[in-house]
Amino acid sequence: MINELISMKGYGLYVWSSFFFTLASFTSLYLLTKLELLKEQKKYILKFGSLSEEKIEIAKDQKINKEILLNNSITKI
Amino acid sequence: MFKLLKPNQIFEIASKLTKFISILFIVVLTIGLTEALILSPEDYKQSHSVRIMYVHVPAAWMALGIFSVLAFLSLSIFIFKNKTFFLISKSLAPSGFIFSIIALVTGAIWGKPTWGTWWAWDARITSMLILALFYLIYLLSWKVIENKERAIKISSLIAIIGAINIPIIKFSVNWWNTLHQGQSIKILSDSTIHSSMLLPLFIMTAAFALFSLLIFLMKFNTEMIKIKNKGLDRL
Amino acid sequence: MVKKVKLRILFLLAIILSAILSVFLILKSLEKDVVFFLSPTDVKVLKTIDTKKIRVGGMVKDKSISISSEKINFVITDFKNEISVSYSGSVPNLFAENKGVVAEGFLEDRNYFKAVKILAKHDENYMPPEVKEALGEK
Repeated sequence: MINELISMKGYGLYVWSSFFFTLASFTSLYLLTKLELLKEQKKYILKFGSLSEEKIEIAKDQKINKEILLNNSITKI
Repeated sequence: MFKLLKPNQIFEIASKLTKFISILFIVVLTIGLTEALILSPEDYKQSHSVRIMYVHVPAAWMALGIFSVLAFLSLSIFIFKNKTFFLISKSLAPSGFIFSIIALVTGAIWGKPTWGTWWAWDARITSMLILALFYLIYLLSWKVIENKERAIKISSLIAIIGAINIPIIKFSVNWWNTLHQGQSIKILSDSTIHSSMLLPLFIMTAAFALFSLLIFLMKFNTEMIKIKNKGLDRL
Repeated sequence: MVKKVKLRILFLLAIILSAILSVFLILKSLEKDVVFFLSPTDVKVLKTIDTKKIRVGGMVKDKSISISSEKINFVITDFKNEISVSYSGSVPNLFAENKGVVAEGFLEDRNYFKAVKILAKHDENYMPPEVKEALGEK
């Protein structure tokens, strides 16, 4: 049963390499996108921290800035 | 409706959706892979190599679909200078590019045991290669062109011109003699794929669509944070 | 503002139309190369037979394959015209009678083709073997 699944009557190499290539491309694109997102979040938090208190207050008034700070995966860790 | 199309709104929704979509994607992909690799029957002629179709065809559909959306959005970017649309199309393009590459590579892997060749310069395969190149040029145009206004203009022109290729891909198998077979799933008549093989095909297509949605959401948020980062400078 | 939008639409229309026209003209003038293979009927109406490598495609005629020592002879048909093909070498798994085929090689004359490569053409039908058998019994 397992052997049959792997060999697929001689087509195993073709079938498995197609699926492997697809999943490998998915994983690489996901990781690339995720890394870029983390990098931008980190840069944003660093800049936010370097702002003067007065400016932080103004920034906090904008909902979107709060959202970014809330939803990033770095501060959660 | 238009309120939903504001970048800030999309950002909020995207941040909440990402986790849910990734779980849904894994679930649908697992079901799809089980169907495609184990449960679905072999073909009477191609035997097990028919299973390659379950990644090849959804990838090709998604690549074509995403480029059509890209071209449509680019039209309104160019005419109405819609600011949200270029963020959306920029975030859609990466997964479309990956899908066009997957379609080409898995097509080559399928061609070897079926046709007896990896590659043929027939109309369908060549026009699909041109689509992948258009995706590449589109993605590169954002990186190469420094001036943002110009990058928006040029990249949307690239998408609009590239859209001419879409009907050529679609109808290449009807217009010319090609090595590639004609379409099996038709709108007006019965599909020539047996229903037991349509099921994995549609589940895999759903999984692929979820994947591009996931990448889209992450990419969109990255772009938004970049913009807001610049916004902090202006306080 | 509105005038600007109108101008942009006009500009885009001009670009799209000229792009479509040029793509159409290019494809039209390259028609001979865009077509992956000629059918036996196309071969029949060829003006000149040159020594260039070409491809001929169609169906392998029923009961036409004959295999002698290292040589395979068969007939490609498009149900209007036929052409005999001879070939030595290995054929793809899907090469069979009543199935699509594309042969790459040289024309000896309008009825005889010497192939150097055989490609199997797949059709758009996909079904499990049991379904095929059930269809065959009908």
